[in-house]
Amino acid sequence: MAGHPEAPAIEIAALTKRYGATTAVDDVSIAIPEGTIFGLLGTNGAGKTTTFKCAMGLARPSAGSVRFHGQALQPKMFESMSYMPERPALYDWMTGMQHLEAARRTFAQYDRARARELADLFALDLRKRAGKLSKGQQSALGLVLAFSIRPQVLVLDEPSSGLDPLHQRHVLDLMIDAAAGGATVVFSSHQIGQVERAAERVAILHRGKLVLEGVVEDLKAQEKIVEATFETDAPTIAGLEANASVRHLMRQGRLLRAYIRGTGDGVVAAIQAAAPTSVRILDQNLEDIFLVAVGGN
Amino acid sequence: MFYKEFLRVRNFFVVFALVMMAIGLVVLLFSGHAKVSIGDDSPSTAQAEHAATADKFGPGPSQVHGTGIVISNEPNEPFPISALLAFAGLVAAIFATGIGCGLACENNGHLEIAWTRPASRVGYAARLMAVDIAGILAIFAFTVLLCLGVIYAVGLQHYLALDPKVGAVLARFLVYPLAWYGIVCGLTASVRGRAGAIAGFSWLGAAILLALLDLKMPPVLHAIVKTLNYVNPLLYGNFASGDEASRHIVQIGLPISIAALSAIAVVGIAAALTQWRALEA
Repeated sequence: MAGHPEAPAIEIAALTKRYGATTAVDDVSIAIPEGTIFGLLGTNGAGKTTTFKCAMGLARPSAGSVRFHGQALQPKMFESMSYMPERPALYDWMTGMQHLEAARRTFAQYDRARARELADLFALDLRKRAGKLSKGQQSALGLVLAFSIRPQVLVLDEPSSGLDPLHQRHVLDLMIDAAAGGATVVFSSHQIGQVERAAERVAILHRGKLVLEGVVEDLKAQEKIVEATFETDAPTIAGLEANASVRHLMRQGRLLRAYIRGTGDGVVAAIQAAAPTSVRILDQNLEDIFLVAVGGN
Repeated sequence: MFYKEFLRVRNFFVVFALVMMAIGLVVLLFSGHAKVSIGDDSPSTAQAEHAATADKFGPGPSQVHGTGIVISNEPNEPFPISALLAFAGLVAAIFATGIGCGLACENNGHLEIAWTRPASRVGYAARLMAVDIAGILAIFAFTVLLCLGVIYAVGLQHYLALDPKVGAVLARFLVYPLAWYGIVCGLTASVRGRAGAIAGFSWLGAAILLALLDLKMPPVLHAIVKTLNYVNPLLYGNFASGDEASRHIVQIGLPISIAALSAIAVVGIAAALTQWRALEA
């Protein structure tokens, strides 16, 4: 893709999208380096799809901008970009084969052999009309279309939606393979395990705002859980909630969990002062990080 | 780049062509001016009647011995080509109403595909419309040819009469369906999900609007109805070949009709493109 090679593959700057009184995306800024797999996480209605739509020119931002290699989106860029929406926007009356033929006639980089290979991978019957395909098969056809043009930028909104575990694994492999070939992959998923497995970087949106963004391994290294058990109900420990490194505190019966950022030495000392029966420091996984970021339990 | 659009129009065309051919077959079999017997080559009542009246109507093939179909007819006046063109224009207009919802169909869940291709929004819409218009012209030509085929099949070709202004009438009925196309496009381009109903009711609305012209009503209301009718394609659908083509209270000549229908088509399409550009997925 033409543009400034040193610029991020995708740069979302202060993006805001309002629908009437509702702010779907609120001042979101993300820079996605070329060749990375970037996961966008968020609860339903967090603004993931709207962010994608603004990025793909399907919706007009109320404020802010999206640039690809330093350039504003232009139609010709779609020659090397693929977007797979959450609900595959296929034409019900067209067969899978006709969808592929339409792609062949539209995209100069369309790879017929690759499309065939992918259709076989997902066990797709291309003679069937899209309207007759199951939701998972429609997603698969959307994926075949997205990957068959060998794009440099892939934006996939819930690409595994409706797919069985085997085909979900294929999607991960395809994304990893594409990134290994230099493509930039941005995707959203509610399956955090998949994101953790595939994505190098993640961003978490909550109610339209960007609440966390970074390299997955760095985030996991920074984020810890201090888990303590007590003989009776977990006590309220003075000053713990006010501690800057405590992102979230959970009390459940005899169990106390403090989700902390950094080493959390002061936190461990404070908890130990309350005479617990045991204290453990655990690594957080991406799901823990996500739940803390969106304020869930 | 035209593939999907071509498939869509082709599907419409095939359905229309089959319906038209079925109608043509029915006309062949059960023409109001013909008495028909099927699968019987023996002299029929119709042939006997024809023999009796042959001197009255002069020479001309008024019998057809085809694949088991025997038809006789008794025309007594020329059949104007203009009427045939008007019929083709009407068929093409119905076809145009059907495919005029193309942008609305895209807007009903397909924008994510339509707008993520290496083509501008206007370029995409223009391409879709170009294929639609080609389809409209094709169904017009098909209908004319089919009608001529039926006329030849029943041996009435000698009664076809060229009007003096057949060229202008042809122009009128070529732009007539385009005007309907423009109106339907303009009304539905930004609609999601109800475009078919709007297209269907556009004919009813146009007919009511035209009928209102003949009703007695307060001058202000009448002026409004009259003004609205200037963008009503039905007003210009008269197949009379002369400038006297008057309908109701509004007097419309042939050149004016052609110009008005063209203007309706252009404005409708421009309105559709404007809405299309402003849409969001």
